[in-house]
Amino acid sequence: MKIKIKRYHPHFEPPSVDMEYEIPEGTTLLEALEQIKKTKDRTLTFSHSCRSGVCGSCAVRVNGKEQLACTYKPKDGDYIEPLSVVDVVRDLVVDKEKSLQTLQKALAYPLQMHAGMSEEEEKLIERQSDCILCGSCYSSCPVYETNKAFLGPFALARAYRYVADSREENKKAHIDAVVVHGIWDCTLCGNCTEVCPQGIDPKGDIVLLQSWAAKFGHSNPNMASFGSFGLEF
Amino acid sequence: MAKSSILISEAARGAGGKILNEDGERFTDELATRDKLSRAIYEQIEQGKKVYLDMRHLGEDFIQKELPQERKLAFLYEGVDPAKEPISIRPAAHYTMGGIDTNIDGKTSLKGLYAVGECANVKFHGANRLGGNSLLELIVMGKRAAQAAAKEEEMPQSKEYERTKIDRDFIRAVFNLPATIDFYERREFLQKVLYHNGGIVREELAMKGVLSVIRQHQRELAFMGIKDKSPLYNTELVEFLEYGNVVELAEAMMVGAIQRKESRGAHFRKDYPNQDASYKAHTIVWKENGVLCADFKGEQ
Repeated sequence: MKIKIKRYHPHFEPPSVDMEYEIPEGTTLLEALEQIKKTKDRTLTFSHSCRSGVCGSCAVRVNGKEQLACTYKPKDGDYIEPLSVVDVVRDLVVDKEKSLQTLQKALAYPLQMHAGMSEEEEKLIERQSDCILCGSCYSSCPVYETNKAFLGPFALARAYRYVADSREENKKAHIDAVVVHGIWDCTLCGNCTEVCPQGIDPKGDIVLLQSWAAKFGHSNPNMASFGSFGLEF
Repeated sequence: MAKSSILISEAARGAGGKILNEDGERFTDELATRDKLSRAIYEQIEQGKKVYLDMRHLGEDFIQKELPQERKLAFLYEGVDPAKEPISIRPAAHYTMGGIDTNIDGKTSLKGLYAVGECANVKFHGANRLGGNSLLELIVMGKRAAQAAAKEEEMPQSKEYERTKIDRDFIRAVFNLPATIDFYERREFLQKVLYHNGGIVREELAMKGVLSVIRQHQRELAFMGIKDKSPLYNTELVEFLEYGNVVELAEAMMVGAIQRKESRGAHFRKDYPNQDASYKAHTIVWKENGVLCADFKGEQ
């Protein structure tokens, strides 16, 4: 069985080249990459850590779709590329720094929490709390083609997690942080929800944030011109 | 799990999962501490018997609701649905109870350096960590270390330390090592030797054998090295440096285990199967001018 890997090294000419490798059947993609590195090509560079779908460091694109290398079983002819939107450092390794900064911009962390919550309340934010920051959703998001400042799916899903947290008292600050370059800029295409390895639904969370924002007096700036057909009455 | 060495959580046993050998016999108490359980399973495997974790009687609905992660991992990495089949298991190293010696604020002997979590030895766990306590350690010690570090008055200076220079020269030299011996193969070999002789069941002669293997590897390090010569994000370099650390730490671990002529928690000596109160202390290992030193330090 053969897979093709998009290699990249900025010092080489050309910097990018596709290389084909023979791999054994029945392994995970990560095991196949390790096998290639060990036996065929020591320069093949990729990120990984837990090997069991928990840490989120090995996300790549397979035939254009985001996958965790450690949970994906390769098929003959698969084309492996690094994540999109983020900068590639070398081969399949990307620099997640800029994407992780969206968490700060979206205030996706506790602001003013009181102690104690019920089991039912905990269930409301359980799914969103499972995010492993693999960056798959970010890579799959088409908004970045036109808007580099977009807060993006994982930051917004996590912002929702704090808005929906029964202990959080300053919900307004959370909402205020996601209305610019945030919830109204999403096209609701659902790519993020489709690629999330943890079954999180950022698209759904963004819709929920939109109704929370309405409660706090924000309105969708894109709808303003829609509602009146762009005409002044 | 036997094939992948991926952890199947203790929760599976806590919820009622049974441990059986290939003859279908229960040979141990599933809720025993990890050291006893590991030894019981290891003993069966040494006798040539496979060991299984059987959750079938818990029912598919219960497994899906209470143990979804375990079901997912078993399916993905062993090709087994625990609702329908038992999972083949074996004991493996999951956590290191020792680590960088710290005080109760995570402070190490190096000024300004704090260590928290599995890399540290704050002495919560003794010789036998209880399930869930690694999380406790992170939450409690993360806060304590952060508070203590925030109070540090003298910030470390960004300057050319003697050690920085030594390390930089060493890394430069690694690029020029001949790489005639493959460290990936050596690492795999060392893992096997340590698993069988320095792991669940230990005894003096076997450990001394491991020690000579380790010393051999130390001598051969200069003939290993890397084939990827790029200075950019060189993961082979990182793995080589990690392997050097493995060899160094394995030596410290074996020296400590040989000196400790008793059995205590996860440290089980076939030649000294009983606990001995005179060893109720942590083994502290350090290097002085390149020479490995070891001593015992009682509880604080």
